[in-house]
Amino acid sequence: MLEIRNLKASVEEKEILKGINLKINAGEVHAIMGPNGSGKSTLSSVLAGRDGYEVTEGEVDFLQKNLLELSPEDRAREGLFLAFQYPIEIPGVSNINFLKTALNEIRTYKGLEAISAKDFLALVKEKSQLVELDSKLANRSVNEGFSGGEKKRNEIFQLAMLNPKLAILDETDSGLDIDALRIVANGVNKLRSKDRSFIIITHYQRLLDYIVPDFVHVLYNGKIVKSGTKELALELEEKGYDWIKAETV
Amino acid sequence: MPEENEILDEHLSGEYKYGFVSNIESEKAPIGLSEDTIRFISQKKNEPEWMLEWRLKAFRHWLTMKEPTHWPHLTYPNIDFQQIYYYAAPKQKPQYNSLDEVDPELLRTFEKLGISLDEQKRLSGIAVDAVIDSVSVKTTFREKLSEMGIIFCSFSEAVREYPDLVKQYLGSVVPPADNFYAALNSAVFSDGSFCYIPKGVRCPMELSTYFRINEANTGQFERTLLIADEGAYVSYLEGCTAPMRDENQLHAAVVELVALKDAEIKYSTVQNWYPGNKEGKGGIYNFVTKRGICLGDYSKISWTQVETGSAVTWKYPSCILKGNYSIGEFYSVAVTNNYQQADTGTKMIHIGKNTKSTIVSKGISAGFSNNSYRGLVAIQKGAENARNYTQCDSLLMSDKCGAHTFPYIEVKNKTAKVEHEATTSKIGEDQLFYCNQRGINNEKAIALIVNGYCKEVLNQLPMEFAVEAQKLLEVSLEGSVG
Amino acid sequence: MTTVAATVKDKILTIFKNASAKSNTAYRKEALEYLQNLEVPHSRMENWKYTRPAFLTKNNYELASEIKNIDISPYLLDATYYHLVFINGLYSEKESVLPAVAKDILLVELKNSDNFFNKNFFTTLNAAYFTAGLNIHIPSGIKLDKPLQIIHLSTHNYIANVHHVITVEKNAKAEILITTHSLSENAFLNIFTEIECKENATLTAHLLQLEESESSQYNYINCRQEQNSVFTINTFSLGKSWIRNDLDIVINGSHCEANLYGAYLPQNNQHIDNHTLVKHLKPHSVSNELYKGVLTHRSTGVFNGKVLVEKNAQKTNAYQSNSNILLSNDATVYSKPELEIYADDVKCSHGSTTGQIDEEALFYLQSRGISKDSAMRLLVQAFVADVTKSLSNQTVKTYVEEYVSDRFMNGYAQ
Repeated sequence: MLEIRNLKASVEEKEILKGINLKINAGEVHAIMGPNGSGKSTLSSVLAGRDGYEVTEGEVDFLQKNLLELSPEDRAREGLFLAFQYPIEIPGVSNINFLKTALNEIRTYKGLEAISAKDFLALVKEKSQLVELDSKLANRSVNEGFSGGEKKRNEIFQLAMLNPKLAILDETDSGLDIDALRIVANGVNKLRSKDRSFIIITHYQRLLDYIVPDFVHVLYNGKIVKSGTKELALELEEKGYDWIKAETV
Repeated sequence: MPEENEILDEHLSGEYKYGFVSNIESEKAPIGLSEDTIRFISQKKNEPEWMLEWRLKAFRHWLTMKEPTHWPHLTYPNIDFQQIYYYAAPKQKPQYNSLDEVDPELLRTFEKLGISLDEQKRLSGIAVDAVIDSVSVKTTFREKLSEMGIIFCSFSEAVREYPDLVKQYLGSVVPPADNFYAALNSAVFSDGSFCYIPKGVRCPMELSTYFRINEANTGQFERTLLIADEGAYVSYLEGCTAPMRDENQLHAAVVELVALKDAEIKYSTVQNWYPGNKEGKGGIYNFVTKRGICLGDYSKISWTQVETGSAVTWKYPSCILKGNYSIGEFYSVAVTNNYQQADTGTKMIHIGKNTKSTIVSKGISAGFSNNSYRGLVAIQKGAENARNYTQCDSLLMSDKCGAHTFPYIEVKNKTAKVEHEATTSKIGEDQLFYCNQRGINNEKAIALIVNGYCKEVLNQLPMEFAVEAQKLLEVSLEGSVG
Repeated sequence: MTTVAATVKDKILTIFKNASAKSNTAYRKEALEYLQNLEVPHSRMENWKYTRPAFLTKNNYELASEIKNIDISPYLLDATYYHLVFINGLYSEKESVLPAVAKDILLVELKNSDNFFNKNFFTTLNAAYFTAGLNIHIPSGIKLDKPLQIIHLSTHNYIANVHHVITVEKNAKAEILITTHSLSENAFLNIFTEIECKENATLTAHLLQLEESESSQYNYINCRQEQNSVFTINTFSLGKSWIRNDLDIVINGSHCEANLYGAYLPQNNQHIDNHTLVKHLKPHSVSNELYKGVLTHRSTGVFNGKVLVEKNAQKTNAYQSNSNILLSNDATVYSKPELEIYADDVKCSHGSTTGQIDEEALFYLQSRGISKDSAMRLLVQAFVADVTKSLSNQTVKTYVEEYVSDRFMNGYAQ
């Protein structure tokens, strides 16, 4: 589904990613862990196509396409979804209007008809239950005045609505209390399928108790320095990142 | 605890403490203004011909100009420019070889002002250029500075000894025809400070100019020119006082700052000219043009001012951000009490790419005074990614004063981001009560709250100045809340 | 007076030389005398720093002499509303539909008025030479059952001076739409509106500037509020005209509310200037002001808002905000939000922001599969919706929102 080969990227001429290699097959859940400043969020931004991140070397194939050549919206339309670490507030744009626009633009891209108002509302109702999102939030402006937990639930709700092939969860657990974490994780688990892959970016092992990954990678200083299964996460939790740092020196 | 007593005394008297007149013999130009006056000044200063020509040109242009009266939020009687002495100097020769040669009365004057001209006696590393009436009387620490290639001297000396530097930069930031008062200053300026920091030099001490008006009916027209060459850094302080007199006196200064590539200039002012008495009689008309240019990339100019004095203030320290990535800052506290009027603010002209400016202005009005912020933020067409943030707050201490905000925002580039916020409020009764309840009287509580309100600006001042400024705020606002 | 300004003034006054005066009241005489000493506005006047009425020199104006027959149905915002029609500065009774309660409505024949506003050259010119106007009087306790639309239409190179007086008496309530249209690039419309909101009155006014061609408009509205009154004015400049709006609100009573909302979307070489003044003379009143601008092409937007709180107006709560989005590098914004405050126990604040569409928001939308153009449109709509969301009149709200949506349908213009 996704193959990253020797990906190098800079921000304001400072190299952050120093040669990432990663292969993800359909249905797999990969966790990427690492200390602060290791490049985790840069990786998600580069994959989603955020401005200001310059890819200096390497390739990324996504469903047989060159991902790096696509605009951010086309990446989304191809089935890449990023759940933001800090979802932005957009005053004046209602969640519903926003999602309907997104859904229909994606459908148009795929040569499908626009969704009817009735079907859309039914879909909203169904998916909002997945993350126990209050239906009132759906009518408010995008993320405006949402609590930290509500914002993250809204991200997973959008994930469910837009039905992507690959979802990247960027520190989705940050700022969540244990109840919200459980709700978000349950939502994600319900969305796991043999066709959909996940990249879960996190600093702590905590989230992985709820969303059990197939593979765990450790990102350090812009490179994946260690890969393993879920046991690696436990080991990291126990020994801390210094263990990795020591090993890589 | 003599120090504490001093503060207490000041606190209780609550009046202008610099209002004494020193008995120094002086030499004046004949009253009034004409080409002859200018020739007189130029001759007194032994100026070269080009300097005289420059003055005369400015004067001729000034004759065609009108006083700016329609836009400032100020009212004052017309100034009779023929009733002013344009030159007054202590009679003894203006250059001294050692302190022993200085008129003892003059020394006492500066001691009284808390400015020691005796390098031995100075604890903190501050080099001072002392300007009394129109003339620089003493510049301290010159030798030490010159070892590093730093030039710090009176303007008159600079004209004679560093004519190339003066010619290159004089009027390059504030052209003689810039405005009415700048033109007047260009014609008649009598002295001031000149400073040049060479490439890569970080000036090791604070440089400062201390201005004092002593003579009656005298205008003070000094001129400061400060150049920081590539990679240089300097922090410059300016203080001023004047005797209490019943008539108004004119102060029309020009300050020009030039920051070349990677240079940084920090310019701090504590302005404490005589503000007039409680009935609004007397006081200084402070009509000053201050402007800096960030000529080179990555240069920075920062203005900090604490304005408590003058009867009428008309002053807009500005930055022209020409170099890419250059930064301009303006931090201001302006306090007006009794019948004082202030129309002050800044101009940030963004020309270069990725230029940034910050404006923080705190206006405090008390008594019957009027306090206006007037500021321009201009983003020119080529100024890609320019950023400005402006915060101006006004605090009203009485129901008879006025607090006004007049921002001008001009944006000609779509990548600009300009934000302006302003609030007007009175001093919080809840805050006052809270202080009272903890045993703090109103007077002290106001001082505390106002100091807190101005913290952001006061923090920008060098240490010694910050303490002085805090005391000054306290004194200026005494009796402002019943 | 500079010679250029004097020449322009002469040129304009010549047009009126042969105007058959509708009346010869003292009011007009007074205006004529004032006119002698007034200058045509120029950029050295602080109030006209950013706006030059250059159109005055470009065009050759005439005065309309007869009422044209025109199908006005395209200009009706809602056919069920009452409407009053002015064509080229002349009242068309034939096309107008009046409310029954407003039988007092008549063409203004101002007597020696003490309401003479010699604000500037244009208002004085209007006072001296206006050709028509309305005296709308909503009697005590009457609530007008339907909104009233006043339509101004210019068809040719005419100068039209129209003067309205609107009085909403005690406990009365009304909603008025003022719409302006022009089919000619060479037309100049000069409207002067005096409004009085008496005790406990409520007036909502919508000013919709919808010029179909690049004509010119000067618009002066003066509103005086008495205690407990609520005055709301929404100004939407959506047409192609050169526009200068001067809005003066005098709050002369306690517990009043004044709301000023506006959106301007200048395009091409268009120039739109909104000057507002809210004068608080009495304590315990509230004013809210929000103006937003979206600028494309080589257009210019000016906002100069002043809140003035006099000594007696303690406990005033005044808020003023202006935001602009520049969508083109050739567009220019001048924003001057001013506070002039003489009372200490007040809450006054203002803010001004100018920038482009938030890049983060844009990326967020794109990352959800929305194209850049659609995302831009959504964000511009949201930006303007801040102003329209407060509209209770659904017709006006829909009209403005659809205008914005249509205008940016095919992406956003540079």
